Amino acid sequence: MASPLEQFAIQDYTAPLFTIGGHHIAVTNSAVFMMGAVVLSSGLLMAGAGKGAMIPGRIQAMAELFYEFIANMIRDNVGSGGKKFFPFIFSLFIFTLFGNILGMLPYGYTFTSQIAVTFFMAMVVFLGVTLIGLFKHGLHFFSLFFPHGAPLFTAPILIPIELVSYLSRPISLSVRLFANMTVGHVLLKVLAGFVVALGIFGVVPLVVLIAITALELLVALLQAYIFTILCCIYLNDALHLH
Amino acid sequence: MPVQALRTLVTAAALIGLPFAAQAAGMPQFDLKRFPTQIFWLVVCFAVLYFLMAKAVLPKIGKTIESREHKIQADLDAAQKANDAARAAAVEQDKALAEARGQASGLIRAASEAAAAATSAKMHEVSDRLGADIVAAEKRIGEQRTQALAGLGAMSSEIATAVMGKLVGSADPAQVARAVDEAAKAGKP
Repeated sequence: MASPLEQFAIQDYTAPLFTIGGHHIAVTNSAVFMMGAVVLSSGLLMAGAGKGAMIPGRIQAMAELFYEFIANMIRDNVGSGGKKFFPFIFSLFIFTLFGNILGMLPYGYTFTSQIAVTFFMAMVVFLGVTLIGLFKHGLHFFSLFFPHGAPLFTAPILIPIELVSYLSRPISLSVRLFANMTVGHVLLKVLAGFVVALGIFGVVPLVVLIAITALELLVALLQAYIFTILCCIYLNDALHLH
Repeated sequence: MPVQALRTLVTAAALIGLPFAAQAAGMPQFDLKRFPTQIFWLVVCFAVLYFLMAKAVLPKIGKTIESREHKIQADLDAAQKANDAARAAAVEQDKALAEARGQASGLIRAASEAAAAATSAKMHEVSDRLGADIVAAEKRIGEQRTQALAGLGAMSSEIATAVMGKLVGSADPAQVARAVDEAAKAGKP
């Protein structure tokens, strides 16, 4: 039986198209699903935004639901200063959500189960948020690392702790998404292996498999939400300090 | 729920064992050679998505939602205005109704008073006329009675003269009249 990790391997579908900095870039399974996520999500959302009817149809209602969901998330977690970042946060949520959901399709590929992808996204958010904070508050931004009102003598302990917790944000953000997606798919694969191996008694793991599949759909949604809301919280920290 | 617990357990185990497992099993995710390709496609795909969302999708949805809110607000305002107008009209109508009612009752009172006055005037006039008629009639009856009574003596003496003429052959009318007069006086109770 194939290793449950094999599903995460990156495969080239084409010959290398071109080279960037010595790296050959080819269309891979991961790239195909990224494009699929972009095409599907923007297709749906464009169809939803298209008519702009007073009384929305199904697709328009869905698009507006996404819009208001993220708009409310930003309003609640970032405040009015977050409006500028609405398109970015929205795209982040949609990209992650469609990546997670498309990975649940049979023969699908989950690009959000790749640490390369999640860590890069987390790093962009982390660096972006840090730069926004520095730009907005200047050197005062570093007061983020010392809680307001704490006794001064605690500084030697608190500042390293806060610094480490701040610097580990991109790691926790990216590993959370990557690990959740990876584990979910490993679990599904292992259980599916049991279903085949146990013959007639395979119905037992099959039932569990169905339950886990439903749970994975929930996790796909939830992790996209968590990823996005954490980005909002980091952005809020940078904009308003504590 | 047991499924959730199982999943949490596996997640925890995976997170703890990840660095070792990654090296041991050779997790494809940690193949650094495949990072640049993924990051390239990630940047391209995300840029396309961001551009489409920021330029095409989100402003349109935002405008739709905003115009819907405006429409709802405008409709609510219009309804409020209409309600106020209806209320004002109802008040106006009540006032007009009360006014009309007062006017009508005044008119009715005046009309009934006038009618009563006219009736009583007519009644007076009629009773006056009737009284006069009655008086005139009584007078006429009295006159006729006196006349009839006066004529009775002459007629009696004429009849008596004629009867005497037939019986006796001749009669003095003056003597007869005197006799009839005396008889009439004597016969009177």
